[in-house]
Amino acid sequence: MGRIIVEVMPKPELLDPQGKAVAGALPRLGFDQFTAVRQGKLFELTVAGDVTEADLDAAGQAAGTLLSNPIIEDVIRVVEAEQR
Amino acid sequence: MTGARVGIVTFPGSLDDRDAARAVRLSGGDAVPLWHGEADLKGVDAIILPGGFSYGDYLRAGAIARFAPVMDRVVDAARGGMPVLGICNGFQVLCESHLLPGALIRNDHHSSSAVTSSCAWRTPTLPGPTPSPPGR
Repeated sequence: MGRIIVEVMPKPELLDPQGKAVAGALPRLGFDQFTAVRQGKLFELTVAGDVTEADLDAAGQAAGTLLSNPIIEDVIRVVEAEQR
Repeated sequence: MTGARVGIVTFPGSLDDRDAARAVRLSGGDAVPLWHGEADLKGVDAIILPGGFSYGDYLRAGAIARFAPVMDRVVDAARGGMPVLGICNGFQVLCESHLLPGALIRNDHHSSSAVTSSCAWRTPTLPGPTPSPPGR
């Protein structure tokens, strides 16, 4: 079984209230060195056999349609996952 | 609106479809139930996408409902001029379908009162045209 990783992040120019809330909570735990947090999404897509170029193309298309909304999010990465 | 046939789409997780149907009947129209899994608008004159939490708001609110079989017909009908009303989650489905410009993002304020308005509006600022649904 092969796996493909798709990473989606909110667009940089867009406010990320989730990341901002996390950034506000970190200093309360003593983590005061982090100046900003942005929160995105990571998808793991599994295929039956080894990952092929066609699988990666399909994952890229899925990333641009269902997995992300191009108005507010960017697809950062579509790559084959390393073996566990 | 006497005699108008108004379709009301039910998705998994729709909550207000019965309320919408009642409102249509009280207004003198015929409420026609439409099922998310059937690509059939049953000859309606207008469509309501009701509120609720389609697919549990997973991924993004409205994002999975947008790809339901009935939605291809709704998008085609809307582009052909059919009136479509999206209420609450239905509005979010219309945004994800790119029938309305913009997208919904989370609120910036973290006060408990934010539960009454759990999203914010963002119009597209991309240089190009609004992205079209795939295959169009």
